[in-house]
Amino acid sequence: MNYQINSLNLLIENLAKLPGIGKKTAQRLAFHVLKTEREEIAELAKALLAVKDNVKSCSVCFNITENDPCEICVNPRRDKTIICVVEEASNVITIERLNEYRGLYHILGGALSPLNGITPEKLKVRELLSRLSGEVEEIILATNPTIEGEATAIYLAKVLKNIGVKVTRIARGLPMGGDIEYADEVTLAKAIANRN
Amino acid sequence: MFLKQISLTNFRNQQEAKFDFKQGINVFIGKNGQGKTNLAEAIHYLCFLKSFRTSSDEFALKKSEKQFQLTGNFNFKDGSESEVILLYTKNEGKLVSQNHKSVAKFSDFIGSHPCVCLSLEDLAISNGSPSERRKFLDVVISQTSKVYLDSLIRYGKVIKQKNKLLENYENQSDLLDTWDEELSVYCFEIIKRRREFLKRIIPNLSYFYKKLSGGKEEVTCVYESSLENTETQADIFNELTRKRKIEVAKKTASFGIHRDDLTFKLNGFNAKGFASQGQHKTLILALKLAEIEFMKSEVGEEPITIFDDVFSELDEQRIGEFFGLLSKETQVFVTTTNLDLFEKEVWKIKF
Ligand SMILES: Nc1ncnc2c1ncn2[C@@H]1O[C@H](COP(=O)(O)OP(=O)(O)O)[C@@H](O)[C@H]1O
Ligand SMILES: [Mg+2]
Ligand SMILES: [Zn+2]
Repeated sequence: MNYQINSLNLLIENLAKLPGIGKKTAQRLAFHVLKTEREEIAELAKALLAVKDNVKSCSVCFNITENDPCEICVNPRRDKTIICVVEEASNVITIERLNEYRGLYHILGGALSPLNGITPEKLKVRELLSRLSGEVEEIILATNPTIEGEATAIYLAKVLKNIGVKVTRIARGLPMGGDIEYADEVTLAKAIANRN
Repeated sequence: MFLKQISLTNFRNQQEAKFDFKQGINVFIGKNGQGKTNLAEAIHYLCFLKSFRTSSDEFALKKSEKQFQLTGNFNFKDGSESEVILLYTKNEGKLVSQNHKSVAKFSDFIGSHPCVCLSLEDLAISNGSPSERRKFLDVVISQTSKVYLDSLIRYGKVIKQKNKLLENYENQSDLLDTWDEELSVYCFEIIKRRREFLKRIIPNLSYFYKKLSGGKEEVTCVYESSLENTETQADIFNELTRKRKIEVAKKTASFGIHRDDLTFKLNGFNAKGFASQGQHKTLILALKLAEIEFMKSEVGEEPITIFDDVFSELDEQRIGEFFGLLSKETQVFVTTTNLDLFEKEVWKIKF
């Protein structure tokens, strides 16, 4: 097709860069934008920029937050003796939704993967170790049950062994090969409750 | 279980076709190049969601078409039915549904429609390379154990990571420990099940070999692990650690289930390099009969069986003996150019 409208094409191209959105969907979304009221689209544009401008990562746990340290880290009702280690901030949302866990978090920012060049230095491992001097008694390893998440948990368990803190791994109770995002919440809640 | 009907659209040389099958023996008869193997391949697709001839689905797509579809209607022992639909679209891949529910993870489907397949290439199980024998083990055991298939998939992924680590290895032994520890988890599950499988099939293998050969030769099969000590997961990890120097020097993961092998023995002699062509063929036929028995007892359902072109060099009497060893309930698909070989009451599909 030679018939092209530049600004529309630019929008389609940019939408198609988003994960899970192909050319066809991008086109559909772009035409939807065309049809929608200007104010509504302005709201969307503002929200997109606000996320970029206001959301940063917590300097303690590396969770996403608008205030540093994050709400979880400063909440006096959270149990500061337990840290749950996860790969991504989205994992925190999954676990928080269960209303089961009352401790703190630590977001690694990924999982070990030689194929993707992810070494322990590229993850927030050193930062995790530096949090252990205080009142922390237990670390829950809740990395994803992928092979990379499993390796990361094995690695961390080795590193933590000599520090004298209790280490538990929860994802083993999950179906093999799954992703913590997709783990059904009952399984995950059970895993967290039964971690001893 | 048996396949009652299959429909093909744009699959290989078929534009649109439908076939009805019977429980028992179904013979595809016709000259070479008519599409007998293609139909056998379509049946295999419905059980394994892939071909036994090619690893690329595109080859199975009818020339200059964009999409093929296979529909199979299966009946199970308990009276339940299963309709499997496989739709392949060029450049997009496969979509599968069972009873109108989409199959999201193909590995979850494997084993739900058990199948034993024998084609000429499978003769390499006894005289070909070790990878042929590992493939044989993997295909059978994956259909009877989810843990096996899951472990196998995860094992393969860990090996890729480990190889990458070894490629640029700079004394990160803590990282190699990490991946080896994970590897030993899956390696243990796999070796355990491979050994159990062999233990289960060897008596039948030996029995069927004697029946088919009319002789007294003892057949047995030994699992040859690339690791010496594999009783526990810790054993495997320790073995990997002991052999680490070799792996570091070779820059590649050289020990584990991806390097293991089987040895078939005839009267104590290694069949590879010792057995005649005829003995190899008898061995493979006996192995397939033992595989069918294993599947039956593990899955609790008769597997579908496919024999593509493998009876061409056998005489009528041997073929009769072979089918005499199968149960009447087993559904069999055989391709042949020579119907005279099948004198019994069989369901014929002419090409
Ligand atoms: N993708 C394809 N598209 C069209 N025809 C095909 C395709 N693949 C194979 N064929 C045709 O199918 C025939 C081979 O069928 P096959 O089942 O192997 O024969 P046989 O009856 O000898 O087993 C050949 O004529 C070949 O040209
Ligand atoms: Mg053929
Ligand atoms: Zn925080």
